[in-house]
Amino acid sequence: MNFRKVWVVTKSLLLSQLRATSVGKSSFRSLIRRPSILAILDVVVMVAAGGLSYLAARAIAGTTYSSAFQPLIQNVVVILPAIILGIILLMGLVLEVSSGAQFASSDTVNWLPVTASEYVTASALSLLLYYSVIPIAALSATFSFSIVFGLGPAWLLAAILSLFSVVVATSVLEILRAILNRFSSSFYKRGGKAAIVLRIVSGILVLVIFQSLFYPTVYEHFLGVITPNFGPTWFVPILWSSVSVTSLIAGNGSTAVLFALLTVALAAVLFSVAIFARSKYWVPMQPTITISSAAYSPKSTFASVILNQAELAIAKKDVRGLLRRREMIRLLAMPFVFLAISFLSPGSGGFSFTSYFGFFIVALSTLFIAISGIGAEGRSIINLYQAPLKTRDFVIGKSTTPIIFGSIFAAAIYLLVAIFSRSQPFQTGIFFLAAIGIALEMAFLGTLIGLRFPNFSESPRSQFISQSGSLIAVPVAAIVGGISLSPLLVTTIFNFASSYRVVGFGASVAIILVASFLSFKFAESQATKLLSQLPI
Amino acid sequence: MSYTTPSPLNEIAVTVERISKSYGTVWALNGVNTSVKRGEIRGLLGANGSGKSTLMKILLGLVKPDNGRVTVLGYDPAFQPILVRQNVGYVPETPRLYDFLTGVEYLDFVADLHGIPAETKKQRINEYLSAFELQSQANDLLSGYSLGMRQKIAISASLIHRPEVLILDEALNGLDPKTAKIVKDTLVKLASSGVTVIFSTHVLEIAQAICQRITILNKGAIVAEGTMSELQVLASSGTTDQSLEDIFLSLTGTSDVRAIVEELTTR
Repeated sequence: MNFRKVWVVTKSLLLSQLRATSVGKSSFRSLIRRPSILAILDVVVMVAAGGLSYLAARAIAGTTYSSAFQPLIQNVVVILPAIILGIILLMGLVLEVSSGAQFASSDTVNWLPVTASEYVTASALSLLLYYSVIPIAALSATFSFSIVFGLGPAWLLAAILSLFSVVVATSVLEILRAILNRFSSSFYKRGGKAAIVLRIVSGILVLVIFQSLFYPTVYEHFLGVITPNFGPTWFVPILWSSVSVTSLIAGNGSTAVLFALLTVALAAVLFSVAIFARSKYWVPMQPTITISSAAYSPKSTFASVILNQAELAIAKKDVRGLLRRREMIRLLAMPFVFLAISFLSPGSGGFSFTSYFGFFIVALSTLFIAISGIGAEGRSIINLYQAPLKTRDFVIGKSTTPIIFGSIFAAAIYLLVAIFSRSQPFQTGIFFLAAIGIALEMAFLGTLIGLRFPNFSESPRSQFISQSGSLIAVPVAAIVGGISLSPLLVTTIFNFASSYRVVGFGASVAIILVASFLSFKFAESQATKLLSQLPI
Repeated sequence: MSYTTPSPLNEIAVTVERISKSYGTVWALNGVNTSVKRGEIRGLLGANGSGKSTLMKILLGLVKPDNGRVTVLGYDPAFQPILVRQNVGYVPETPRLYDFLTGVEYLDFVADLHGIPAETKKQRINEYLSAFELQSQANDLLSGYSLGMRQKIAISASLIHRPEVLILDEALNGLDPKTAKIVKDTLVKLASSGVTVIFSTHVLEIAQAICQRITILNKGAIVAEGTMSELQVLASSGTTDQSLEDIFLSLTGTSDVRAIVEELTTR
């Protein structure tokens, strides 16, 4: 490995990151987005965080609260490497998922004489430097407390392991980047069902992990299980460093060394995998041009019995958009994120809770797909304007995709509930049917809101819905959905007799149908207004 | 590409009466009057911002005029947009295709919006893919298409429902010479079978070669309209070998090109 070359690439990547995020911004921002300013910021943060924490630690040490603070500081030092790893991973994922311009210089690197290991090292270093303020702030702030409260050796171990955590985080990001590089070449230029499925699954996983890491109760959950006898945490590699520090504090030196070595090994393995992934998926990949000699032959589908040709065309196009567009993955990931959070949150109550929470998941996921449906057209909406399209076909076509996905989410959630919970099959059955109804209601309501507040802008990023639309959508949906479900929920929660529950279900269905019909009618009138003149 | 329309020639296909349209304080169109016969190829010429695209959008009912009236095949696009769009094909200046669809999926989508039966749809899509030599890329996502390939798909989509009026806004942009020739010949053939073609271009040689009549717009108003020989007279040159470029520059008041070039190249 040529370290001079590594440093040159590191500087280039760092500059591209700093400058890419300052494009179009004020000249002041451009001025401060420089590596030298970054270094000064690191020093300032180190001094400030270290100094302030020293003053705070001295002040606390002299009070009666000192003993109460001891376990808190200990927990922070224990979790420090995992927190630094989580934050850097999270920030990197935000950067990677939402933007392509940031790493534009990596394209140039492809035809320069730089090896995969040099590139991965440089890229990891550039990420470390870009986010250096995070570990510096965390380590400086905890240093003084650790010294004052007699946790010096534990802090030192945590600091060393934090460095390896940074290597773990940047290696994971490199692996993701290498894979995403291949994905973006193959997914966005070519079709292919396997590639699309893989991208959806990986995209959803990335977002679920990202959101879970961001969710504070997840750490709270893990903190609860990190004890001196470390329980089941050795299953979680990112917590090995924490187990090591905990063991050191508990005086278990051999375990501390074992888990410290495991953390180092994890970093080394992931770094090697990152180099392998980079060399394996080194762009530009060889083109996968499909020479298709087969003549086009349309297929008839069952859906054509329910929808007319124009409605089906819009629905098919929207489903493809939802599955193929990178920016739509977040909508598909939404129910999975809610499910993950509901299970990771302490005291969620597992699947019996999910049977009720399922309504919320189905309603919100369907609503967001529906409100995005109009604005997601962007400037391509001219295709619909120039077609001989009736407003009724437009509204039904646009509402079909959220209904389909809402129903799939409902089926998946209540299938899980039926398998894993102890709730009665009868109750699960009517909850599932009510959830389908909620999907229908939210699809029409969301389409109405999307038609009233569309945002067709495509840059700097797609918005889909105006700010006012996004602000009113959830409260309105909560009121409508709440009113619709109240007869069913009241009769279920208060354990009414089965016959009353059926009546409650019937009442909910009736309200859902009325609300859906009204939303559809209002949406039709809104669509007439929208389609009367090209908005962009 | 077989194409026949039963409509008799010499009928008026498009009428534009005192059309005005403003965007804020800027008049995109100001009292424009014209008419286009069935089977005619009408060229719309004008500098950027002269109102060509706005006029085309008004013809399709995409933009409502502030004043005046338009009819396309007897229908008013402002009040009967669906009837107009059933019979009109349109290629916008910058085709906005759905990048997440493949070429064939996009054509299928447009054909479905026009309610074309499955068998006819299949036959026409294969026909256009073959004519524009797009079969091998038909199943690739549109995001991977070059400008010219996207233009070919947009032109195919505009023809797929066999429109009686074709409105093309800079449709030859980005096409390679062979495809440009195919499109030009297609337009001539379509016009001879009764299809009305209205198209804007900045390539004056193309307009000169295929347009029966030319309308020159300047700052939202028609400054000249007629056949090539009528325009030569209008330009008061007195000579018959004057090119459309000279006429255009003379009529739009941009004939001081030489002076501008002189100024730009002065050291």
